[in-house]
Amino acid sequence: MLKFKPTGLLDSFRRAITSMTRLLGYHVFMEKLRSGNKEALKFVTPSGVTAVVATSIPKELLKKLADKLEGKLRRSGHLTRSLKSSGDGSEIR
Amino acid sequence: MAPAQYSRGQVVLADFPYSEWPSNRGDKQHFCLVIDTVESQNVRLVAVCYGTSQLDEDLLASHGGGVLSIPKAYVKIRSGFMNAPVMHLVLEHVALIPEEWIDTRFNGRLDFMRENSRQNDPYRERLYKAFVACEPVMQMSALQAVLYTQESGLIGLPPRKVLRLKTTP
Repeated sequence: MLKFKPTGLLDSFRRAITSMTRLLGYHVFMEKLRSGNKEALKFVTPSGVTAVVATSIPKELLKKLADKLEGKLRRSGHLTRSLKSSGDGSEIR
Repeated sequence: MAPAQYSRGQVVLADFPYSEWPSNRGDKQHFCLVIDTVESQNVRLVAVCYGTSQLDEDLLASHGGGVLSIPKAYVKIRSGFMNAPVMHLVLEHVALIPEEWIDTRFNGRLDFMRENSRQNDPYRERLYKAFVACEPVMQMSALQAVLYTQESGLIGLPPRKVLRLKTTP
């Protein structure tokens, strides 16, 4: 059976990439994948594993949760205007 | 099995994301308080407030005292166990996570939410009042997390949320 054995140079390159990933975080090496209406992020973890994470979250679901939270804050008198309009959080008192 | 409905004051054990990799599942479990949930046919998202057993100067300095401490004796545990004597909830450290990141073997709830549990119990009454005062801060942090997910498409902890700023050498 043929097995891939990293050479010294390739191994050093992989280690350099891993160190950079650790320093900069995963985001720099993230790649967005799309298939129909589904979406995923592809990145390499510090240990060298390639991970694909599904990120497609229904927008209606997020809107529903934002509305729920805003409603609760408004009812308790802690929010006077929608945060969604300005997004700076200045409306909380 | 995950609870069909999360109630107010529900305590869960979750893989809370770290600030360094805010959209990734954390590799250590933490006791967290459920702030709110939403679900559709096959997805359930949960906004959870981070809980830790370690209350130190760095944590307090980073959050200006925005920490709610609940002794273990005031968490009603239905299944699983809690090893820490006190759960310190960091009010502004709220992440939006998928339900899959929650360990369903643990199921607990703050034991002062029901009115009759607080009758003739001044300590429970005081904890409840502290919880009610802190709840809007956690809800606002949860709302920030949701708005961040709406904008970026990434779940987890919003950016610039740091748990401990180093103040001690």
